[in-house]
Amino acid sequence: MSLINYLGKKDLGIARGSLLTDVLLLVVVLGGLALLANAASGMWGAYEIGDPILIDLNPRCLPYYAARTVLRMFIGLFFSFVCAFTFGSMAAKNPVAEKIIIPLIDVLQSIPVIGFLEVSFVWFVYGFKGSFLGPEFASIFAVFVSQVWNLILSYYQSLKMMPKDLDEVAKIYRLSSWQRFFRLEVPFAAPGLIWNAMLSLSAGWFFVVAGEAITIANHNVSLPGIGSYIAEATNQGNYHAIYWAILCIFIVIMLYDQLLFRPLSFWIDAKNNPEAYIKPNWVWHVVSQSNLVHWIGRQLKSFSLCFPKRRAKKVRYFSSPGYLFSLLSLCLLTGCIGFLAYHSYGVISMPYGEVKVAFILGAYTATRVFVLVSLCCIIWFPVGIFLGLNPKIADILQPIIQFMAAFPPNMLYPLIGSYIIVHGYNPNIWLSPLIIMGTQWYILFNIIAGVRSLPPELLLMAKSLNLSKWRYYVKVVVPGVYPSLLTGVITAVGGAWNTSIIAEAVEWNGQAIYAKGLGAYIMKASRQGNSDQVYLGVIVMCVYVFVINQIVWIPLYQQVEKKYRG
Amino acid sequence: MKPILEVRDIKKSFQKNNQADIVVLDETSLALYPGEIVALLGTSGSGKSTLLRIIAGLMKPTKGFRYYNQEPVVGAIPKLSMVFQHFALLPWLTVLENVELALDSEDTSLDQKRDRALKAIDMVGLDGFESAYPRELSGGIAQRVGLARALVIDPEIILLDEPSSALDVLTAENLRGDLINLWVSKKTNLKSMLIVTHNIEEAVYMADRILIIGSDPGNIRSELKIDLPHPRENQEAKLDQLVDQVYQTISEVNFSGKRSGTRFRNVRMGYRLPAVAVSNITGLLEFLVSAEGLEHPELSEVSDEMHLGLDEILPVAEALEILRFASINNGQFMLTAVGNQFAKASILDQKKVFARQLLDHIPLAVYVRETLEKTSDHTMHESELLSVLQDTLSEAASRHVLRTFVDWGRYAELFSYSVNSGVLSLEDP
Repeated sequence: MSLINYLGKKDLGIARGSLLTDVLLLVVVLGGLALLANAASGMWGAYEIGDPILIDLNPRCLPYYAARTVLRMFIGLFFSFVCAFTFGSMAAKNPVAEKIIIPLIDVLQSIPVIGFLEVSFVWFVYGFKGSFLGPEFASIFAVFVSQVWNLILSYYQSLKMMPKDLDEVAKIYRLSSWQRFFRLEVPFAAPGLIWNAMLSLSAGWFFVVAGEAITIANHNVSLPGIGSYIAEATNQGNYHAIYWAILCIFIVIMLYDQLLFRPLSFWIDAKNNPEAYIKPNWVWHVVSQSNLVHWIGRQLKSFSLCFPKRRAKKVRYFSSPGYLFSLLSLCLLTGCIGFLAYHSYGVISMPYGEVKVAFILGAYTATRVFVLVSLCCIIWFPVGIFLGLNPKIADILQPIIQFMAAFPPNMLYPLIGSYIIVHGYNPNIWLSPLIIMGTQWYILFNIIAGVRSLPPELLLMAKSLNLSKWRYYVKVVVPGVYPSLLTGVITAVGGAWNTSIIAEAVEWNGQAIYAKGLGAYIMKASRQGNSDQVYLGVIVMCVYVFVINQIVWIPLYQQVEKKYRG
Repeated sequence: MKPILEVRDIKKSFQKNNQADIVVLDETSLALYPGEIVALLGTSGSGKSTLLRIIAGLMKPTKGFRYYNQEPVVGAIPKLSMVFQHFALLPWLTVLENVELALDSEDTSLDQKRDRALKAIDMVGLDGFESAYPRELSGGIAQRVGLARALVIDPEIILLDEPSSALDVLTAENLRGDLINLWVSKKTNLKSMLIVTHNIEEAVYMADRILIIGSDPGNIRSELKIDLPHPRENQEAKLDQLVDQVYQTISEVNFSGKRSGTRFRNVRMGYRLPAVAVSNITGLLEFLVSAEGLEHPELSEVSDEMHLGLDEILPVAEALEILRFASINNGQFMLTAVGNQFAKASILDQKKVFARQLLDHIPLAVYVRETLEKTSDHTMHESELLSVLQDTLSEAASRHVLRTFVDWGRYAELFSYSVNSGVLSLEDP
């Protein structure tokens, strides 16, 4: 990390148009593509459930596994973007679609991603029977689901916020809907979309790792990837392999952070505050100085311009893509409902006792989530306020915290699990912190951001009144941070429910320990191949998340927003 | 001569939740003839922006027809372009790319488009700014880019939507002069311009014909032909006279809602209270009282002296009138005894006078006060008030009226109001 930071500060002294830059860039890009293509070629192939997939624990195989995992991430991201563009613009432009899509996303968002994975896995494996693509897509689907709702909402909100006069410019100068899309809508929505994609990519590592190694109906399905590597190491109780895997994901996330996250967040920052000087990012610097990139940019522009011109005036109620998409989404929706109805049959026929058990276990998990999020708030609140008021220290710590947030905590579960098993601690208590390991950072981030967004005059006013320290915090700083704290808490709670499916059931060296809770219930059922119980568990979890959202978080958020954001 | 673009018998209304239609425009017709600049003058909320958008083809009228060269048309017209109040430049494109954007829909090569865009930029005097981004530009320059974008398609008609209202006074004057130079020079195939404005000087300086639009419902109330040749720099005296004339017409249009013979207009329950802060009312009254030597100050003089635009002074004048502090006749203010008393009273007495005027002349105030006194806990919810207002007003307008009314009522200490709960209550029941 320090080397790269050093590189960032140092002016590389590469002048614009240097051949070296272009060649370097080309080598890096082509090398990366070759690695990914090699990884992709492994995605096809014959596969039947029960076929053993060998995962080699030799650390030399790790780069290949890492490439497979990264590839899954980006394929998931690609589909998320496609969905965001279609459904987001449908919701923004068609009032009927808006009334369907936005509430639907609200509901879908409350379905735990890992729950989706458990349910959809079987579906994909049978959909692509006899092919390796089945499990592959199931794993990609997990990544997709973890990102897509966010992106759709972000694109939808951007379109809704688009100034009316820009829209009128497009109409007056008769841009076609494709021209409008490329020239107006995508650039306008880009900052929000990229920011959201970055955040969900960070969270995505968790799901891609979880989605690679799944035990279904007593069969281990493990796709070549870092997640499976960890799972295999866990099975064999191989500490060395786990350390290697952690090192590997560490490097991957660092590369991702340096090569993608920072250049893009630099770009967004620079775009949002044209006046302020922002330290240029080294990757951005190199890329924007390259002739090659400029040439590609020009080609892309002329390509986007030759998209279908507006045809002669015709009254159409749907623009052609919009019409197609509505039809498509209708099919999708019917499919989903049919699928759910088909499977819920099994759930309905379940004995009442079983349902009761699931709900009671849900209460356990809910308590666990509540207690741990509260604990996190108590711990991180003072830290966050301190960091928010001391931007210098925060700037130093920020990359570290950002990195921690992106690091998938489920990579550490086996290690912690082994410790608990070896020492024989009570899993009900000691597995609990695992559900908050990944999502606690959202609380911290939001508190810091909240403190920073306090109006400076307010802090000056407090100083000028000579308020005592206590009153300064209680009357000025803390109330100003409430809205962001709440945003952080809501995100963390959502994440914690998600995590509970993995975190309440940890294995090590052939032994499994379970904490009492709904997550463990789902995991156990899934390992035993009891699909009705899996559905029941996921549905109960949805009910919990959705109901708690509707009766606690949303009203609370609205209240706090109204009162403290002026 | 036949008009190039014409709208006839336009009606535009919005419907909300099966309630009565809110009519914005009714029975409005407007024609643009070759070789003329037309100004559309009116206060905010009079529907002039809506009319412009219907003419531009951006908005569909509820009723009525639109003709381009005597042919009925809908939607955008290739030879028509528009200049926007807030410039409407795409922030991620350079000046050159912004201008080129207008040519996206044409089937010409990229090089040709570039040439035409450069020529248009040249025409508005912006050589050297081609690679700048909009955020680097001042308002005046940005509006010129907007103009270049309008010119690049070689238009017959340009619609200008308050082109100078987001600019400072000097820049606005500069832009006006350049527009007229462009018009006089005949370098383009421009046949007609329609400018929407609330600046009377601008209208008088630029237009060959001024149309004055009134509200509730919006339609064109008055037309004034100006037969002065362009440019009009050296005709100060005539222009001043015209400005006075337009002021008078406008005040007649805006204050003719009252029945003939009465001095004041009567306010109904669902009256659209002008969105004016109490401080503006006191400010204007104090100014009128102190404007010594003038028995009946004229609207144009007052707005000149106080550096207020038409859009700013008319609502305050309206508030003065409905509260019976002053009346406006023939473009002149006439203070009432109450108005005089109010202006000279102490702060606490002012509140008392204001409260009395509210209860005497604003039915909404009486309604609220009576409801508050009747109910056992002396409270009422804002939703009740809003539903009363929405019988005659749109939802947004009702909210505006509510906000103004709450502001006035709080000042007069008629009631107190909590924004969190939306409850109005008697302060001391």
